[in-house]
Amino acid sequence: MEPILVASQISKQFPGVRALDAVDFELLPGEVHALVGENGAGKSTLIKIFAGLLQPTDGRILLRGQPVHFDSPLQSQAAGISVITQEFNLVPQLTVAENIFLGREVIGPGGLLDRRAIRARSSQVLQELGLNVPAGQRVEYLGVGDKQLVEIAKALSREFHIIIMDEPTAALNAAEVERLFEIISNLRQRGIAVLYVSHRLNEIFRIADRVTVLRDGKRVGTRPIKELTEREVITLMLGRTLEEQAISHQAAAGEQVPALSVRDLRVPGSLHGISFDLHYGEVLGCAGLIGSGRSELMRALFGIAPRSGGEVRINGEPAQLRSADEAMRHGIFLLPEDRKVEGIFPDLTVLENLVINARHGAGRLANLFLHLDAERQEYAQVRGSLAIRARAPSQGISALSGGNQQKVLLGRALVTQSRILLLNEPTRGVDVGTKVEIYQLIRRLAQEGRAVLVSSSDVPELVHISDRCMVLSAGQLTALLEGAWITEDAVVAAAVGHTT
Amino acid sequence: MQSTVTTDAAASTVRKLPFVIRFFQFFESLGVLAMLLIVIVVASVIAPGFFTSTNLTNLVITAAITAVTGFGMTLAIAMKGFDLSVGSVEALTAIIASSLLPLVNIPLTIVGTLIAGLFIGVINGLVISKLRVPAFVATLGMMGIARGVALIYTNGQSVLLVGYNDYAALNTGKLLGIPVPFVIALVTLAVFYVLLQQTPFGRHVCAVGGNEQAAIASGLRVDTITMAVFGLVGATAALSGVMLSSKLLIVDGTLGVGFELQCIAISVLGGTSLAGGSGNMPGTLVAALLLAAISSALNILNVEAFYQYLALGLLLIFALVLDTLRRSIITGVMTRGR
Repeated sequence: MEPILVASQISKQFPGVRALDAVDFELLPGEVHALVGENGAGKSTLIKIFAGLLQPTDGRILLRGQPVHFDSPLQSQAAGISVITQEFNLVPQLTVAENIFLGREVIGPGGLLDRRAIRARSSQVLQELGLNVPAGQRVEYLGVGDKQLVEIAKALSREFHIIIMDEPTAALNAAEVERLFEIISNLRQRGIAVLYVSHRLNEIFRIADRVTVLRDGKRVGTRPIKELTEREVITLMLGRTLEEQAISHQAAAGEQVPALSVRDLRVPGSLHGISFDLHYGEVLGCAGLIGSGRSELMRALFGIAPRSGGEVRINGEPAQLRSADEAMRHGIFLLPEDRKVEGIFPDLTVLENLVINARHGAGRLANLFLHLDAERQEYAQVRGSLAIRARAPSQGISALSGGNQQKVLLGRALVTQSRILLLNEPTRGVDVGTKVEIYQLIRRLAQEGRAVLVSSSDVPELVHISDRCMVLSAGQLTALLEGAWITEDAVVAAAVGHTT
Repeated sequence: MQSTVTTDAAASTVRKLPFVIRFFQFFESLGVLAMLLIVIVVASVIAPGFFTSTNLTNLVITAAITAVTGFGMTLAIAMKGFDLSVGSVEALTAIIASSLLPLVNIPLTIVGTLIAGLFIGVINGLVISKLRVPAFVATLGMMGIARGVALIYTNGQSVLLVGYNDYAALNTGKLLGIPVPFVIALVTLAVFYVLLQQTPFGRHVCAVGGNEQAAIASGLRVDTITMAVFGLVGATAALSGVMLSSKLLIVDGTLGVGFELQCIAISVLGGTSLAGGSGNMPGTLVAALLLAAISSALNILNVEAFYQYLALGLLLIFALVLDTLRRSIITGVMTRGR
């Protein structure tokens, strides 16, 4: 069979970085071709070239055997390529329908918009795809999951022969992921080529026919998925075998008084009475589907979500937790869910990001000035301790990979000497190699005496690192599992509301 | 695609928005109107001579001149941009109109002046889109350039329009009992309203303002849209220049100082969000009337000019606070509802 899309010896050079190095890639019609690689391996760059957002510095693209040149997204779309991007390309102030048809508006008599036709056709598209999103709603009023569905609908509503999906399931719940897979099967049957990019290897093993692995801008292999195991794929991605050290789970031999003692915590609309204890020296996992209240729990414990009831005791003393400032004074640290928006300061350096909370000496006067030496020392300590890969403390943090950025954010906990850590999705958007490092870091932080609460949508991750694991479903605590009882099945069952 | 669509299914997928949000959307449209009515009522009571035919006519004319450029500014704000040069452009185009008047007939004068305004606006758009200068800075520069040109051209002197009675009629005339300037404002409102709400171009302007990346990814020509929008703003400033010159009948290079702030103020007061992505044209007109009413009342009450500046500033802050409050309440309600 003739490939429909071929990238031949594609290279992309940025100042100082060779993002793609003579990559050969081909896509067959009717196949689901997965593209995997660590962050920085070149996946996004290759996709942007196919989408017309970037131009290669070398090499050619062939569409059905003919050389083509995509100078803009418009040209790529005209050639029959549709892209579901990782960052949502939606206009918040416009409705779902208007977003889906942006640039391809239906025009009525006199050159005016035919609003009714646009609304009707987008409803139709959403229905045909089985996606339950209201077409007349402004996008800014939708949740993250719905926004991703709109992004998907937008890409699927065009005429296309090739569709590129970049992390399409990041914000979807289990049912929506199933629906997407059905759609992909459908596309495959219709002879459409699907290029699927994801960090979630389990998904790739479910739906992909072939997989191409990129590493450091080079293609290191393309094989039918049946011929590989997950470990082999990871080995290709990293260039080495993954040392997965056995993670020891110790019973929390820590202090008697729990670090956090939560009773009947309520957050309007999200939590309806949660009670649990968090001990020093343990890792307490928090599982649950999107919308179960996990995020709100973390935010409430950090003082940035409105509470309508319940009591929180820190080290036995009741605390109001009305602000982040207050939470931090109690030694609580939050690793936010969305590091790009709530975590890093993208225009500042690694050092500046790390020490942003540091206090040097007592009193207000001491903190009026920058303590550069002390800060550099702290940086050196933390960098060594967490194995942060950065060229220098003065490097812009945006240049670091997602995993290393997370490490810098975790480093803030060390700098502020926080004893209670709330980690919200600590490995989201982090490549496999760094993920394992972060797991070990989390365990170590707990073993050193801290109390760690980890909220994650990655169930195997929680099973792997938690001493105990609580499961939330629709704002209620449906399970609190311990030790050997923490299994993927038990967690998933509790997450969908099955109480034990 | 099939052409039959079950409307039942379409209707059932639209979830009803929480009451709070619908209240705010309603308020967005009518809040300014309520304020205007209150001011008119209060002023009629405490300021003798406010509710007279003469005063109301003046009020409406003043409002019309500001509203016209306000519509252009609203379009720019919807695209998340500002045009700080409109005051200087108003002065320059008033002078251009006065210079054309002795040479050609009135329709040609108006058209020529509008083209001049359009031209200046497109230059702004070019600098912003091609040279990648932020709108704030680019139009700030044009603010100085246009005024400089105006002052140099007139040598700092005034230009008198004596004996141009037909031209003056643009200001004093009435169409069906409505002062001509207000008719012009209403027509401009209609044009800009349709442009923003009912044309693909309007949607694209909102798209660029709401999320420029998404606009680019959807294949929209952001550069062209930018030049078109700023061109239109320049044209509206020119129209205001024509209206102003027909009112004052004596123009010079110092006209229109602070005009840009008034135009931004009425856009925001009228319900257009500074975050971009949407625009409220009718609100702009109502806000222009509100501002003119307050000004008129304060004048009648012999309040010094400084207090009027104060009033404008306070109103602007009030409008911005309301805008921010509204958005945070909406986000709060939406996230709580999940």
